[in-house]
Parts: sequence; structure tokens; C-alpha cells
Amino acid sequence: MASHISFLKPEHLAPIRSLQLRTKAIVEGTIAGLHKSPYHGFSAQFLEYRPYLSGEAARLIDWRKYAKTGRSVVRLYEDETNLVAWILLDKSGSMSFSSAKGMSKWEYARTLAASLTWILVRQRDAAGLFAFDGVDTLMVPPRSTNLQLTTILSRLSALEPGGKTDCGAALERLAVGIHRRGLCVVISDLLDEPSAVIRGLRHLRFKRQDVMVLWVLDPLENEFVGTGALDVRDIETGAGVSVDGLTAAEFFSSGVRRHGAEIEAACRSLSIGFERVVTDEPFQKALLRILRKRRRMH
Amino acid sequence: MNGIAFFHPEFLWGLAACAIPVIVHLLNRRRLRRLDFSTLRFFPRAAVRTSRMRTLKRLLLLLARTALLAALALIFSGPYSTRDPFAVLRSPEASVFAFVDPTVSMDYRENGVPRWRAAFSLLDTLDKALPSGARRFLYGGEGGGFVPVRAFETPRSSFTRHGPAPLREMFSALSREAHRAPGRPLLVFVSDFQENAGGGLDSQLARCGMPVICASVAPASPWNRGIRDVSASSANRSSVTARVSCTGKEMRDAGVTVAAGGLRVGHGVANAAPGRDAIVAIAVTADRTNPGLVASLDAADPFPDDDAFYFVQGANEAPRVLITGDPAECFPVKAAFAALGPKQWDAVVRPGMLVSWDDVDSAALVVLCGVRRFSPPIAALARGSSPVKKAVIFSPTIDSANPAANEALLPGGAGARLRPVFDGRTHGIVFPDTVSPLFSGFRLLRDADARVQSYCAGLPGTVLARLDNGAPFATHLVDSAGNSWVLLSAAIGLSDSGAAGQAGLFVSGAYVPLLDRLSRFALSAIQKEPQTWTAGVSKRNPYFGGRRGADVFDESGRSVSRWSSQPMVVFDRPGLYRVAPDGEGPFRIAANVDSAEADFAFRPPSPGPEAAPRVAFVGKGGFPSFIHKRRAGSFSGWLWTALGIFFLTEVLLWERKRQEKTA
Repeated sequence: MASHISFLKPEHLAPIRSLQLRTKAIVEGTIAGLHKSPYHGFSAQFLEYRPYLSGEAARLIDWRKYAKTGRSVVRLYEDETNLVAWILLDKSGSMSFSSAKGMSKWEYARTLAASLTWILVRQRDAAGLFAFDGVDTLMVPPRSTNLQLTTILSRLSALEPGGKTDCGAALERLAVGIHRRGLCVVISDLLDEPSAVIRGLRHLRFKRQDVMVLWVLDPLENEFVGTGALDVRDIETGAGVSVDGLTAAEFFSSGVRRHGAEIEAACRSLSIGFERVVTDEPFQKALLRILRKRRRMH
Repeated sequence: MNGIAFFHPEFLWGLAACAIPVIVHLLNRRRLRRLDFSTLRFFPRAAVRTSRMRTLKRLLLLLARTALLAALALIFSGPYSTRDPFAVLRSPEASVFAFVDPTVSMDYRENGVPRWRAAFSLLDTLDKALPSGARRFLYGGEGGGFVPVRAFETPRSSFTRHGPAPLREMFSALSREAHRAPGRPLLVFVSDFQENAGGGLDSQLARCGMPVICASVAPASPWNRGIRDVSASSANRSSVTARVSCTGKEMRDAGVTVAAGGLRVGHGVANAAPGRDAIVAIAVTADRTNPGLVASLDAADPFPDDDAFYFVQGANEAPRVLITGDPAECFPVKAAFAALGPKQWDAVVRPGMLVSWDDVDSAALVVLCGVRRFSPPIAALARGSSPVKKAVIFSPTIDSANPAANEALLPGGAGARLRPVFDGRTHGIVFPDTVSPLFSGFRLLRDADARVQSYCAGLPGTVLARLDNGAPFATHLVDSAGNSWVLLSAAIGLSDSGAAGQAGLFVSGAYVPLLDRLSRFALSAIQKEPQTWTAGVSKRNPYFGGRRGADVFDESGRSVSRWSSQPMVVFDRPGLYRVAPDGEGPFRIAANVDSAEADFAFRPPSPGPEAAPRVAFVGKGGFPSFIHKRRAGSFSGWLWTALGIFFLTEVLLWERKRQEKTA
């Protein structure tokens, strides 16, 4: 067990222990939880009256209201449910890049996914894992049991990044299989065609998912610093290009800026939360920032 | 290295510094470093192209730095073309000969600074630019030649003098000194290059064979004015009208002085804008109706050392006629000239013994009318020793009582051959033709009225008219001094013999036109020159040969000179002078500025295509830059330009480099 959660250290979890992940949208849960449900249930929170329909149990009639008004009405209460959350984790080869200034993007993203899983399970929400690359996918269906945390952590420990990035297709694959409202947290470097990524995100939104995108970047990707002549090799494809550091910095910085801006704009229009996470930022600090921001939004 | 040498070749070692950027470049040459990166998505082909361009720029930067260091080393080493004659300016072996134009036009003041001072200012610039070992020579005048000096120091007072620039003396002194002085010679000729002053300069420059810098200090706005015409009204002879033209600067309260016969007879004030004329009416005090000179004085004159402008003007169109002889006998002659009008002839009568040198000098035509006794000026005229050519009409003494007068008066002793003829008859005058200009229209006068009773035979010269007996009546000859003599065989005045009266010559219709034609004929045979004194020009001493002398004072009363036994005298500077002869009353003489010198017309020298490469003409403003360029070397401009380009390239590329470091 200890080996499974080596990337989920207690010091990482301590600051976020008191946090609860809430979702803006109404999610459908299997058990009573902290989140609003589209169904009326048995919580103490009064919602509204509705006319009594014949055939319903007579115990549902609000007799006090009947005594006052002479009309038979049924008293409705808000139902509370737990959350079904999908952690979508990019495990393509590009996620393994590290500029040696900190964690690799993969380690950072895996830790992020584990932390979120821990939070969700702790608040009795159902958490599932969908790790993907261009070819392969790993799916752990959502559960709200404590065993689910162990399962996901063990699966995360076993995963190794590799393969080409095909973020858009993976999102669409998942979207096809989702039928209930819920939360999707996409953790990826999004190094795919922006149009494909946006198409996938749009599909998820179409499936009434509350989507949150965490764009994981290495410090070198966030701000490219290059000196001298560089032979830049793509770790996914092995292709290379020879440029000098200054040119690389100019083109990469502007390209990343355009890429992020395009996806972020699309997310804004789709009401999708978009957060840039750089791996040189302390993990707990980043998570705290993301969750606090989300709490302010809701 | 054909044609290229260096003033400081030791700085060429600086070229070794060119290796520094190359070495630094080689040491810092970055090898290709592999970077396994997450994606190549953001490295398009343009990035590769840009990268290659940047590599090229880096190489350019290396080249620029290397070239910049090379240019610096070359600038310090001072390359010059050995074919550049003015490269001598940087040579410690230079022998610089400086000549400052001493003509009076260099006294012209512009903005209060005389030209000669501006000339020495230029020489001071040159002085500071010359290397310490260079030798300096300054022309000190005809006698002194070129004098070695430690520095070209500005004289405390003006050294200009009237007259032409001593070019020939200067160039001969230059050739002597240049051979004597060690090192490479260079002549710096500083002048205002007035056109008249430049006469002969071109040929001298072409011959001198050494590099010459002609530095001009010509004024930008010359003060220049003149008097266009002067006229004396016939109705009001006591007034003279002068039209004064003003070019250049504005003329304010310019004094206009009328002088006649060397005497100042009137003064007026003229004001005129540039390019305009001013008409000044001046009242004259003397009875001279024919003012010979007009002088202009100006308190704000920028040309103070010749603060008088004198001009011989058109008023001299009426030639002065000096009629000498017995005044009573000369009466009809004077009356004849007067009858022709004051604008035609300005006749005065002087007894033979009272004729002064000034009378003779101021007269264009001298009529010797039965002169029996005469003064030295007349004798000098007869001897042909007069320095100025004269027209003379000689009417002989017919009486046999004093034949020596005729002998002494006629040139070449021709008077000895004159023989009075009294044949008891009257003779008419036969004019040779009616076509020649001399006697054109005289046909109608060929009548008995124009007759003479007695005459002198043996007239020398070319016969102009004869008597009806074939004897010459009028002849013409030019003596050895160039004087034009018209000799008449009969008396034209009232003589003791009464010839004219009896013959009725002066009462005939032919008398006045005959005198007029003969006088004009005599005048036409000589080149009439105005009787003026021009400062710097020698003239015959009016008291030469006499026992008396005269003291000459300037306008402030300071004694200038004494005229005694010297044959020629000269006024150094223009102005009004008072001449006080011994035992006589003083009179005044106006010494003119040479009209050519007073007329500002500037012309740069043009020594011809062969000498042009070694003769540089530079203006006042261009002189320092010329010296600076030559001091810096022939290629200085190119090198500094190249240095600027390299530096600019360096700055531009360095900026990129800085950005790269920042990134």
C-alpha cells in the first residue's frame, strides 16, 4: 500500500484535507451526498409544494396545509446525492517530459489525479479513472467505496506514460460511454490539435458533465529558455529539428501562448473551468489554488 | 602599397586586435546540444529558417567586430594617399609658407572684422593643426621675403597697402626659400581673391610646382557702391548732381565729395537702399563748372583704411582747355571755346608765365596762343617731358621780334625752321576735301572771310590744310612723348600784326568750328587720361626740377611727405591731402582708391587642369574642415563611415544578443 501511494504523501494531503470538492452542476449520485440532485428526496431542505396526485400514498399529504387551505398538497424536499467524478489522465509520451527542474508532468499529473481521487472518496463521492493515450486507455469505473481509492492508486502506480497524444479522441471515447451527469477532471498537457481537444470537451459538456481542465506544463514549456544550438527531439515520435535557442524560445513561447489561449477561450465559452498548472509550482499549493477558485465560483 | 602610406604606421599593430573577436567566437562556439522535448508542434519551418538567419547574423556580427577593430587601427595609423599633395599638412617635415594678401581690399570689414584679421584667424587654425615639427614662414613684404616664424600671429595693426598684390615678388621669394628650407613645402595663399588682384595669380600658381591652398576670406556681403554719373547743370553752374548707386549693403549717410582740380569744392550726403540709386545735389563753392572728381565718404564705412571712394566721372566729358599766352590776345580763343558751351569745353586762360604744373596736369588740351614767355611747365611740355600725354594747339608768334619763342616751343627744334612770311597779300584757307571728319561741312566756308595776311612757313608734320598759295596752314605731329600737336601757321588770336583781325579769321564763320575741329582732332590722337591721383600709383613730382618744394599733409594735419627733388611721388593711401608749396598758398589733392580695387568682384584662381590637383581653393568656412580632413588623412572620411556602419551593425546585433541573454 505504501508503495502504491508513494506519490500521495501525507504532507501533500494535509492542506487539502478540509476541502471538499463541490460541483456546480447538479450531479446524479447513487447515495446521499453533499451535492444537489435533480431528484426530490429526504433531506431537511424544503423545496416546494405540489398538488397531490391520486394514487399516491396519503401520508405524503401535508395535513397542516390542508387544514389551512383545504387543498391537498404534497411537501417536497431537496434530495442530496453523491458525485460521480471521472479523472481523465493523459498518459501520452509527452507527459513524461521533465526539464529536470522538478517533477515530470506525468508524476505531477498522477499526483494530482490521486489527490483528487482521495478528496472525492473522502467525501463519499464516486471517483473513476480514465487514463488515455493515442492507442491505449485504462478505465476504472466510478465507485464511492474506500476500496476504490486503493484500486485507483494501485492502477496509477502501475501506469507508465507512452504513446502518441490523441486527447480529443480519448475525450470523445469517454463521452460516448457516460450517461449520467457528473464531473470530469481532465489532466493533460493538451499537446494535440486544439480543434480536436475542443471537440472532445464539447462532447463532454453535451453529456451534461461539469468539466474541469487542468493544463499541466513543464516550466520549460511554460517559458522556454534556450541557449546555443539545439537539436530538439520529439520524445513521442523521435523526429528532430535543429534550431538555436533564441529562435526556439521565440517560436515555442508564442506557439504555446496561442495554443493555450485558443483552448482557454473555447473552455470559457463552454463554461469549462481551465487551469494552467506548472510543475515547478508546489503541488499542494496548486491544488489549493484550483479548489479555492472553484469554491469561489460556486 | 602604391599610393598609400601611413602617418603613424606603429598603430598598424592594432590590426592584430582583429584576431580577438575571432578567438572569442571560436572559444564560444556552441556545439549542437540535444534536447528531448515534449513536442515539435511549435517549431515550424519558419523557425528553422529564422535560426539559420540568426546564425548568419552571428557571423556578420563577428565580421563587423573584426572590421570595426581594423577600422579603428587604420584610423589611428592615419593612412593617406601619397598622391595627395596636401598630406604634407600632417608631416612634421612640412614647411608651410603663408602669404596674406596685403592689398587694401583686405581692410574691408565684415561684422567689424577686417579681412586681413580673418585671414590670420585662418592661419591660426592652420597653426594649431600643424605638427610640432613643421616649419612656418610668413611673407613679410617685398624686401623681407618669407620670414621664419614660430607661429602665425595676428599683427596688431593693419599691414595692408595700396597697389597690386606683390605676386611676382612673393613667388620668386617662395621659390628661393622653398629650395632652401628643408622638408616638403606648402604654400597657403590667403586672400579675398578680388578679380583685379588675381591678375597673374593663375600663371604663378601654375608655375610654382608645389601644393597651394588658396584660402578665401572674401566677404559674404561686400560693401560696394559707386557713382554712376555726375552732371553740372548749365543753368546752375554752382551745383553738381551725382547719381550714387548702392549695391551690397545699405548706404547710410554716405558723404559725397566733389573735388575739382585736386580741390575739394563741395560735399553732400547720400542714403540709399541696396540695389537703389540716390541722387545727390551738391553745391560747389568754386567757380569750377567741371568737377573732375567725386569722392564718397562714409562714417560707417567697413573699408576704413581707404575710407574715401573717389571716382573719375562723366563730368570730365568737358575737357579742360588751358589757353596760354597774352590774355588779351587769347580772348577770341577763349570766346570761341566758350561759344561751344560749357559741356563741350572747359577753357581757362593763363598768362604764359603763370601757368602752373597743376594747370598743365589738369588740362587735356593746351592752346599755345602766341606765347612769347612761358613758365617751366610749358617748357617741359614742349620738351616732351610731361608724363601725361597732352593735345596741343600751337599758334606761332608771327612777329620777328621774338623768334626764340617759336623755337623753344615746337618739339624737336622744329621751331627753328619756322620762317615768318609777310608778302602783303591775304591768303585764303584751302581745306583739302569735304569728306574727312576733320573738315566735313567746311565747303561752304571756303570763302574770302577765312583769310590770313601773314603766316609762318616751314611747318613740320602732316599737312591738314593749306593756304591758297600752297603753304601749310595746319599740320599735325606727335612728338616723342606722345603729345599730339596741331601746328598752325597763322595766329589764331589777336596778334600784334593783326593778322587774324585783318584777315578776319576769328570773325569769320569758320573760326569757331575750325578751333573745335582742330582741338578734337588733336585730342583724338591721344589717349585721354583723367587727371587724378590714385593712391599707390606714382606720378611725376610737380615740383621736380624746381627750386621750391611742398609739404604734404593728410586730412588730420599730420605731415605725410615732402615733395622736393624726387622725380616721382606717390600717395600710399587714398584720401584728401593738403599740399603746401613753399611760399604759396596750400591746395588740396584727392588721392583715389584704385577703381578696380574698390570694385568688389571676386574670382577664385583657376590655374589650369595640370596644376589643379595641387591647388585647392577653399572658402573661409571650409578651411578648417579642409585642414581637418587633410590632417586626418585622405581616407579618414571613408574609414569613419565604415566605422560608423560597423558600429551600427554591432549595436543592432548586440541588441539581439542582449535579448537572447535576457531570455
